[in-house]
Parts: sequence; structure tokens; C-alpha cells
Amino acid sequence: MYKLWQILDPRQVLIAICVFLIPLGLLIHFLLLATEDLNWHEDGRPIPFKAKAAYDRAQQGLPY
Amino acid sequence: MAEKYNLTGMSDEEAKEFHSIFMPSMYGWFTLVVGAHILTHLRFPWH
Repeated sequence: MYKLWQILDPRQVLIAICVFLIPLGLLIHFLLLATEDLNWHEDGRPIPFKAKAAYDRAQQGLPY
Repeated sequence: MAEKYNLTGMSDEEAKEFHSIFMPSMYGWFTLVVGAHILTHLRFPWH
């Protein structure tokens, strides 16, 4: 198997892997962020601090 | 015979050395990726 590197240039292989995987990873992440249900930045989890504080205060009967 | 297919000029020893670094690195990357997917699915199941 190691003889692969006598056929393929290791430098070109490593560059090709980087050129392929980095844009692919970025593409998939941005595609997910562009969706409504798989966007982890705006899914409300964990609950935003202000919302939790307001909920806790409401539970205690405090205003706003 | 095998020398005929040596296009990169690497010796057997050099090829073995690179291979001994490349393969564990590849398996490590696969492990990392699979682990990331498992953890992500545990936290944010997508189906």
C-alpha cells in the first residue's frame, strides 16, 4: 500500500485533500446555517439569558 | 518491474515513512469526524 506514494506525489495529495475538504466543510456548515431548523445559532438553545431571567422572575411573581 | 512505476522518485523507505504518518492521521481524522457527528446528533438530533 505504501507504494501508492511512489505513484502519487504526497504534496499534491495533501493539497488536494485540503482544497477538497475545507470548502466542503465550509459549504455544509453555511448550508446548515441557512436552513431554519438546523441553524444552531438561532434555534433558541440554550435559552437566551434574557428570556430565562424573565421566566425566572415571572415564576417568582416579579414584574417584567 | 516495480521501479518502472516509481513516478515520484520516493524510495521505499521514504514512502513507508510517509505512509506511516498519513494512515494514522487519516484514521484520526475519521475518528474525529465520526465523534463530532455522534455528539452533534446527541445534542441536536436532526431526524
